[in-house]
Amino acid sequence: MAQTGWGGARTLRVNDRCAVAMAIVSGAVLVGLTVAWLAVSTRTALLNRQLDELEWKHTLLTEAINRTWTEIGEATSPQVMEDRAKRLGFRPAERIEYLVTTLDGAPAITMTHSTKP
Amino acid sequence: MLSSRRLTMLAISIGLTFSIAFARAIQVQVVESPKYAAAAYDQQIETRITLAPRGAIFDRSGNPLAVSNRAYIVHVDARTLTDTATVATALAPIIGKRVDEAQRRLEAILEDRKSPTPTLSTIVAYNLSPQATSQLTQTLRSLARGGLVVDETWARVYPYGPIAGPTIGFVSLQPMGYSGVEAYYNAQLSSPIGQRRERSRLELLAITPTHSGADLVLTLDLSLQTYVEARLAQAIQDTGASGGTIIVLETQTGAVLASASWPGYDPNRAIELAGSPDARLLRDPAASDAYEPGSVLKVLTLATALDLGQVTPQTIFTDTGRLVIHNKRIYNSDRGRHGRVTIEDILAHSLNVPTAQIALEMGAEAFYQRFRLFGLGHRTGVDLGNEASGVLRTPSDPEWSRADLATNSYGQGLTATPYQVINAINVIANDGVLMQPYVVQQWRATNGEIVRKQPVPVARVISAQTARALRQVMMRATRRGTPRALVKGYPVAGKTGTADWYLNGVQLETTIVTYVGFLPADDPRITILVKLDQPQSSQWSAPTTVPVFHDVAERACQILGIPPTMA
Repeated sequence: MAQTGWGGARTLRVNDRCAVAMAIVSGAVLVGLTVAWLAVSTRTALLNRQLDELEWKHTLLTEAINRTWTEIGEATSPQVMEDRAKRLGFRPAERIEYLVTTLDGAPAITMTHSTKP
Repeated sequence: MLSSRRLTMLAISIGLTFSIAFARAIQVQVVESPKYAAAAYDQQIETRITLAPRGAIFDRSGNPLAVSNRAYIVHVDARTLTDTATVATALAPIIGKRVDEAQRRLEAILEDRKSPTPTLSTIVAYNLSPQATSQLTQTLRSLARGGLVVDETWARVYPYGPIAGPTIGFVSLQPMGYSGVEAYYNAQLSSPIGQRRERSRLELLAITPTHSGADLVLTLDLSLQTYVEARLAQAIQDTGASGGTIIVLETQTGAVLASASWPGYDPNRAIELAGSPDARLLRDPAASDAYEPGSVLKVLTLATALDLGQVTPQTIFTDTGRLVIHNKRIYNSDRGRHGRVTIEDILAHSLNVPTAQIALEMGAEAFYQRFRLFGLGHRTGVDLGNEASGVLRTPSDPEWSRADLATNSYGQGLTATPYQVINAINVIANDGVLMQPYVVQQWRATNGEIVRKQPVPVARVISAQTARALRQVMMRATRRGTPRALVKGYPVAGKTGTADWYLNGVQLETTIVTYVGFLPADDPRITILVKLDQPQSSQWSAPTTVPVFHDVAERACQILGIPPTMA
């Protein structure tokens, strides 16, 4: 009986150790999984923020490009250009004369054009 | 003391109550769980719409003709707007209206929203700049008033205003293209609607990306376009015409270098115009308005006759000055009788009677088969929205008679758009090949891919030899008939056309005059159409359209760098 009792107590102690070890391992796995989950979540959140910021920058750049095109268009519109040219003292030419030369040695042609409509 | 029966009853009641509660809990937690889970999920999830700008439009040199800028739309929120007077005070200076007008508008919207079927738009301001929007929201915040909702959007801006307006077209607030290039290329220009689904700012669930629409590059030359519009406005003033159109085509490709119409419109003001009596201006008359072109089309009749071998440049005809067919009397425009004439005389004096005789001799089948090949009676396929097809009655129509054949031969009794007319005459300039006119030469997709449009030859209508022979005849006829069209250094070939103006089927005293020509006629590079509606200074084409043709041709050669071919 004593032997049996002693053997039973020993078995119990072994089982206790196993249970404790199992609990520690399970706990470690659980902690590991939690840490991994947190890491992935954090990374995802950070990437989302980065994506947001990049999208925002892209939108700002698109806005700036389009605004610049508009400014170019407005600055080069015929009325604005004409006014600027007049301010600088330019006047439409009454006549334009130009010489057309040909590569094959044919006689050149002198042309005169009226620019008045 | 409670009896055992009563105790049993109490136990049963409590048991039943708990059973019902338990059953309900099972129903909610298990049976209907997906439904409630979905409802909760929907409450937690936010879906945000993201919009990218519509593609830009450039001329052939890269000048921006249409771009999209960040802007804001202001709506009324009928559930939260109460103090219309204060809100109107903040809104009025932003939208450029009086306070009482703004307040009336707000109250009308509130009243309308009470009806089961509201009809008024809740939009009170659109295309507001970021600065104006910021000013409005700050004012409302300082007044502690709500009731307006501000949405981000992209506003379409046309930096050059009315220049090339009808060709470019316009867009609605959505934005959707409604005319011109904006309508025809709406699919390419539009940006897809993007979406972001997120549980919180940090938990993005799904993203549907958006990107800007494709950028279009037009064949238009802004310098030439600007000149052509100024010259058309001058011509309208000089002749007292009610309207007009000028088109410049690149002969060998069909590329549209300039297209101007009067009255035009500023696409920046299109949404305003759409709700006004001037809404009829929101179209491109060059593509949408069919008219009776008149004698310009004699060139097509003669080209067909020459190509069929029915006539030669030397053939002599006898002009009797009068022709009766199916009780319809046909005269020359000068009511004269010219006796023995060649096709050069027919063109130089624009004779109706011998032209009609040639068509009658040719027969309806050959005539209409060629006229359709020249592109009459069906759309040219120009890449502009709302193109009209014109009307060309053929012998298969019950209302057709041989008198139609006679009148059609000199451009009457049929209708065509300015694009159809210039494209048909361009066949003679382009050695007999009909081209499809086009306005967009390439588009740049967002992924950087560049799609280039190639010129599209539609059909060979007449032989190259016939085209060249007819060009020589036209050059001589132009020197005799309309010398004002000649440009120093360049041989010119062209033809006038005059037709009566009809209003609701009633012939008026006024006319529509057209001139179509091309140069250098020995090796054509550009083809030009000038059309004026109801000129008051003269009812004929020569004194009204020809000087305009001359000036446009001369300036086009300078701008496009076309060298002179003769001294």
